[in-house]
Amino acid sequence: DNVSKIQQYLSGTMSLNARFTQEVISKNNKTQTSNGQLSLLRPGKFRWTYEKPYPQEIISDGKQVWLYDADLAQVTIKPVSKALEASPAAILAGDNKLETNFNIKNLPSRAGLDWIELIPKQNDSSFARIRIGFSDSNLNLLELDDHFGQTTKIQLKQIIRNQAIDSKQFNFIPPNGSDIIRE
Amino acid sequence: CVQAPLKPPSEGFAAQGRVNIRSQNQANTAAFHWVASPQQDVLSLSSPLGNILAQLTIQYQGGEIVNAQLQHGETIDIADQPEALLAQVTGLVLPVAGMRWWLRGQPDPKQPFTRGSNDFEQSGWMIRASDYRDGKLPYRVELSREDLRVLVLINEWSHATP
Repeated sequence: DNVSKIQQYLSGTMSLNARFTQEVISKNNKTQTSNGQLSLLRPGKFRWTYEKPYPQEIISDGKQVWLYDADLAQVTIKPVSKALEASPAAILAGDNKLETNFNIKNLPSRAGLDWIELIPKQNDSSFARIRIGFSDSNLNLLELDDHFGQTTKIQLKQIIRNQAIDSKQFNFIPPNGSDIIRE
Repeated sequence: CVQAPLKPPSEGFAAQGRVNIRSQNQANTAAFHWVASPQQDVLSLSSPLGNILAQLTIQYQGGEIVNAQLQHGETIDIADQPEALLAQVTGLVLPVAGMRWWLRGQPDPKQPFTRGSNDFEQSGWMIRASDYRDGKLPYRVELSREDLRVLVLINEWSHATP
């Protein structure tokens, strides 16, 4: 079934590199688009780089998370918090089973993809539901519903899976002169 | 020349961008969407992923705040003080009562203020608006207090969506 298929895909993914397009559709269906690049090394290491609408990076070495805002030249360093549990990065790079943090449902196929729906067990999670759409070879689409009727769609493209990745990229060195805040 | 103080947003306005709140040992950035009309302001704060973290609604009557309501996740809290409510529930400190004017680079006409060369001081905050691309509205507003610096970077001004 879909759940074991996606679980196998995730646990069989040592590393992943992809481009992504993110669309946020609000209730009055205005769409905000951003895009960028994602790389991850399981377990726990990821680098989520937004290029548009403004340059921003979210990097984790599995122990801490760096949030880098290039325009503000500001780096915030936070411990890997539970809040990340329901984020795409944590789902893709997380090492525990999906069932640990989510109740999971199979969904009917749609747009040529197989789907499952994740419902966070943690009640103060930032998303109400997360759907994962995947083809037989790759995980292609994530749809995240927040609690305000908004949906974030993340499309992964140019996916390169299980190729050697330089793990140094998951350790962020703040440019000198950055405003660094360690929380 | 002294700009005539703006009237209350009779026809309403909306601003979209991001806000960075920097205190001594904490920094938070959120995307924001602010919709102001004469009777109410609605401020939505979102993460880079686009999900709304919190939505604050402030009701006005005769220009006075009568009620504030904050939705976060599935819960809604109501209080009469919007700033205390926002800080207590989300940990974010924002001078929302003043921002209705300050976002547009103007002091609240009903409160005392002192003007500097390119900023003004009101309700304990120093407000500096800049980057006036089309000459009427700022795209960068810095609000500072001795313990806090709030930087508002606006990327879109529009009329309040109905």
